[in-house]
Amino acid sequence: MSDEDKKTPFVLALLTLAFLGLAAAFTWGRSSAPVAPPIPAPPVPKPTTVRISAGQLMKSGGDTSGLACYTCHDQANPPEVKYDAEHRVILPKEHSDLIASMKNCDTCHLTKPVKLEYAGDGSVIIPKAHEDWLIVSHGRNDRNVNCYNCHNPQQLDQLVTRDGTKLRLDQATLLCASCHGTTYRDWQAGVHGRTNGFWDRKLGGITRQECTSCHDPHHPTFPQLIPLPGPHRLHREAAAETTNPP
Amino acid sequence: MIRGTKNYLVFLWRCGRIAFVGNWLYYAWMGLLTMVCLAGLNAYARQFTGGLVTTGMSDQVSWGVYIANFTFIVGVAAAAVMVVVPVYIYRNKDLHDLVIFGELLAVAAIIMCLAFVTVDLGRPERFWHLIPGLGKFNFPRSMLSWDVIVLNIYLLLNVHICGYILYCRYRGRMPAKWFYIPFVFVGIVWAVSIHTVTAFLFVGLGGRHFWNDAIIGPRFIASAFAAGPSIIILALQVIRRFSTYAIPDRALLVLRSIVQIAMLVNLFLLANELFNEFYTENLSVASARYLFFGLHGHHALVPWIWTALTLDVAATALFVLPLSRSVQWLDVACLCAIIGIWIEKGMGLVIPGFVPTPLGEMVEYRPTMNETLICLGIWALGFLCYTIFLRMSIPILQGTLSKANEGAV
Amino acid sequence: MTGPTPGGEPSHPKPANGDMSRRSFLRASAAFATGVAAVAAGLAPLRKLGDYCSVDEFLQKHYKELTPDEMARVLARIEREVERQYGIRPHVRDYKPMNGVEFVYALNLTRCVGCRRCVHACVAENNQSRDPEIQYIRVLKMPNGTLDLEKGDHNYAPAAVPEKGFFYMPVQCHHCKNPPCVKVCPVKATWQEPDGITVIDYNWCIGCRYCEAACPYWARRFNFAQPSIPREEINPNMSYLGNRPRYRGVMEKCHFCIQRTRAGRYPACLEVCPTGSRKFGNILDPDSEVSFILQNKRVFVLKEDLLTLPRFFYYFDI
Repeated sequence: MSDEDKKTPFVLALLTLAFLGLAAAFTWGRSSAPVAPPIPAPPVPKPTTVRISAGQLMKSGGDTSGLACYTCHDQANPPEVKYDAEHRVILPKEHSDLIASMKNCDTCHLTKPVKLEYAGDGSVIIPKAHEDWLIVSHGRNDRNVNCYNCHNPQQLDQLVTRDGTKLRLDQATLLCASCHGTTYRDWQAGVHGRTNGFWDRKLGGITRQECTSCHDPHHPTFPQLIPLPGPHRLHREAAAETTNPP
Repeated sequence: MIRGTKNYLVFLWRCGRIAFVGNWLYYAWMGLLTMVCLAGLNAYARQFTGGLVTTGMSDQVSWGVYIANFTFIVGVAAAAVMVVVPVYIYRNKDLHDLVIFGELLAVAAIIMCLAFVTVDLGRPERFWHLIPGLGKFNFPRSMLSWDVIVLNIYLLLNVHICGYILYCRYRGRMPAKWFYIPFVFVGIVWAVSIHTVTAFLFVGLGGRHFWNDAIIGPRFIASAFAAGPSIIILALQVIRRFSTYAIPDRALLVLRSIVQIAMLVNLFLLANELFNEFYTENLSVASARYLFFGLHGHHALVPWIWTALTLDVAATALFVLPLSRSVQWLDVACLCAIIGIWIEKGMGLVIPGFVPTPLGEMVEYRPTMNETLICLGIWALGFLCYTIFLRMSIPILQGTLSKANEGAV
Repeated sequence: MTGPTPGGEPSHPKPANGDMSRRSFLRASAAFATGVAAVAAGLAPLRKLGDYCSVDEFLQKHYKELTPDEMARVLARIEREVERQYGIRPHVRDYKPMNGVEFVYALNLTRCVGCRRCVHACVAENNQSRDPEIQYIRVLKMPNGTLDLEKGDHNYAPAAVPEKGFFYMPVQCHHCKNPPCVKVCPVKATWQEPDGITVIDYNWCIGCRYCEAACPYWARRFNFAQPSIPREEINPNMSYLGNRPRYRGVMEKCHFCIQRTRAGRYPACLEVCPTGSRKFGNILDPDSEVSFILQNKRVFVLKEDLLTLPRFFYYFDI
């Protein structure tokens, strides 16, 4: 036999062994791909509002004792507007419970549940991060902070427009509208503020929000929210090595 | 009729048998290719089970090396027909038989293309949805539907031409001109069309400015006609070295002159593209900037594209110089051209189209080991197919496998 | 001899009958047999495939070709599949488009604060995979003064939003009137319905991802792996073209909460938005919110030069 022919059986034997080795590698070989850390489950958001309006409070049958002004106040003596050192209007500390109870902490704090703290007399302590709630800030350069621009000094559980029209506390939207006409027009068209329910009004009703369900009239700027988690990439184990990780 | 069928079946049987017969080198080569194929098959089984998450692709970069290789190989398939042009248009009868080798390469390449597309699909068992009449075929609006049609018809064209000529040679008959010459000429035009349709896959996407450019089509053809004949030059030398089939040097030089022109045109078109992208200085050149210079701190493709350009320029220089008339330098030039074009047409075309995403996000792409094994497996499948085709066709062309010696072996 | 001799005479004496010697036949068979064993072993990972697809599912026709009877059977089959996989009994329906309805979405960029509640409400409503994570909505944090999307930040995670000097732009499927994704799908697995919603038939999609490459708004998502949804968070009110759990290897995207909107309700992203930035409705109804917006607000669309004609309009109030 020549050299050539000796090689053929040798090569075939080698191939046989190689195929066996391959079969073994397929059967028992394990891939050592890095495993990405699991994605933490984000909360499921619900359609709440950042605040409960006086109207919502009344309609829901909640505790409206804070809205009964003459439990503490004297009808004959309207309370004096208080200013701080920088001549900003302060909301009375006695109202801090009312302020806090009308906030929906969960709407903003969806990812980080809030634990409220209480003072000795049982009233809520406004958290340090929200101490601005006690300062009135309404309008550009705070030009609309005088309490009696909106509240009727003679009847504290009434609201009053600039032209003297008296409104109930749950009619606050009309008071807002008396100055914010264009926004009110958008709100009436359903374009300002959220609408829940049926776009097809023939099939069902809708729920609209009052102005004060989102805007605290004493500091109407819509509050900041804690954002929900951002996106996670498909290949997170590789992404960790890059310069802009997800 | 029945005897004709029986003759044909005997012919097929003998062709099949001869694929398993050879010397030790043949067994070693085929064995190695089979093992790589099997590794690829195993990797695909993992991908089929686990989903395409086993690749490096993501929603941001949703096409990767599979489509990159597909794009390159379609070009090779198209250019294989370039061997046909000098023979049939310029009546160069001496190179007649080489047409078979070129078209067999096209068949092997189309098989690779179909394999690359199949492994890229998320639900490959639903391929029947693509069959007109049976499924729902979005022709003519979807360029992918055009691609399905032209690729399959091109496969049938080449299988018919090679099959018919080889069978006639086996039977010792002169092939009837009307039964293959028209198909040859259709094939020449069809070859250009398959690659242009593949280019149009990318060009038609208005949201991807890197691709939405008229120059992509011509660049595809130019680079295909450089890389394809380069592969054929190397393949012919392998045939010359490992079989007794004589390949005249003139064949290699004819192909060399095709590649010369194609490389020069390719470089010219590249220069056009570079001017368009970098002189304009607007937001739509972000992908080109990412490819050539990196963008926002991401630069994974920069070394690749500059390597490719260097290889392209080196290959062009070598092809143009009389130096490459010598076979060794010709081989170097071919390798440079093949690798350079593989990079710039594969990773250098497909990936930058996805970076940044249409929303401006920068996510890079790196193929996984599993993905790479599947690619290697399909390349091995292509080599395996082509080796088998040569193993069957060379004896037929030489006359050692013919109807005359049917009884002896 | 210098090279192999294909088809030629082997150089060792052959047995007279022309066949290979028994030894060489055995050698070749051994190699062949181990090769076959290697193939079998190579395919071993397929053992873990599990429930890939039933025969019915494989043979199912395109959505548009299903008769009402066939559709009823398909829906029942899907309900069984979902129950088997997740252990809850869903209600899968095929909602048809309403007459005289064309949906339009409007988003107020002044009011969006970037809180991403829309993103996660969508995930919960539409049974999207949590890991790998699929989210139809992507919120971009953009610096004031530019609409260059490359300047957008997708991964912002400050303590509180909105941040000064930025605005937030959520992007999802725009349900374009001239959709590039519909044009490129080779099997017509995605198309636009008469009410404007661009839908996907998850049982027809072959997963080629051409539509994902075609979309200029990066709105389409692919299931690279088997989706995973926590059982207790599954929304059992499902629709065939909408929020039924998808399969590995198919595309999905925002479908305007088709199971809600074709029943007359608002989509989940709109319902949860705390600032009311999102507006949705029937543009053919002159009294709808979206008609008001398109008539009175300065709306614009993204990438208008691509003439995709999106049904998703952005505007600033202030």
